[in-house]
Amino acid sequence: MKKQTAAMDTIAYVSDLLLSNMYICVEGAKAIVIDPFACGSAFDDLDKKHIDIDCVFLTHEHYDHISGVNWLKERYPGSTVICSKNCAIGMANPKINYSRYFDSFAELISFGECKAIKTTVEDYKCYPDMTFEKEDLIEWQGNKIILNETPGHSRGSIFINVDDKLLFSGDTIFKDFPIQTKFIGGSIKDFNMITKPFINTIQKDIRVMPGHLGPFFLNESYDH
Amino acid sequence: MTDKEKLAMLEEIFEMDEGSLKATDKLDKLDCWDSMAALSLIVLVSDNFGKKLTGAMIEDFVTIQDVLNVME
Repeated sequence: MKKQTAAMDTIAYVSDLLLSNMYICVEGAKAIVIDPFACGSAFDDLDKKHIDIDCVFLTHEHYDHISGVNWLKERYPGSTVICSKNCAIGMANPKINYSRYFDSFAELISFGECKAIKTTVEDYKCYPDMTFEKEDLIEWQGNKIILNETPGHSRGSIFINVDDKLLFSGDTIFKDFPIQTKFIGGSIKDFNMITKPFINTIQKDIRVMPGHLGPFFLNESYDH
Repeated sequence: MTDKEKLAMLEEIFEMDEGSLKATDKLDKLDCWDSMAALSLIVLVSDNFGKKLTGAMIEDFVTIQDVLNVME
């Protein structure tokens, strides 16, 4: 499912896997991808326009947000997959990234528009090309992309802030739901001690692009 | 493993007080029973008993005894 967002040159694609969002941001003939899943039509569109993938960012290590990493790396071997060091640890471990349990869980869970589904998922591992700890700054096509660790939902969670305009927040903040910290590596203490104070430093009118469901402004978030 | 030990494992993942869970308790009457508790149960049974719980199996659980029965 393809959804045009309000933000410039950013398109959200919604996966069948718990309705997770993949975002593609295009700038000229280059693009970045956030939380990829295998979606031929999305990338066929880019190929037709001769748009290449520079970077792939991962908001956290859970399977519904990393399922397309290996698929995408095969298709765009020159792309660079970037995530936190802790995310990389989880990506390589089917227990921590939940691929081992994903099909059972997908049969049960429902929230918002997300309905339980039957799927078959094998143990899944993938690996980044580049990792960071705490914070990193990437200059890309004239845009300033700031990566910050935001533990709480998972140990490897991050925010991806593009030009103080868009905040790709993974599963850390939602408009209508509180953060879920009961996953392996999740920690309400880390969220309250590290991530929540950090969120309070971000301008409130930034557009939040969450890992599931639709965008909202930071001052509309549930944990605001 | 005894039922008492299994109940202790369930109390831990359900974040319940020690000794508060009984085999006769109905899952849908537990305040803690939600999709995240179900996921924790899936992980517990997989990692400790080598069994894969399906969504259908979990939906068929009525009492804690039903859960104890698969923890073997």
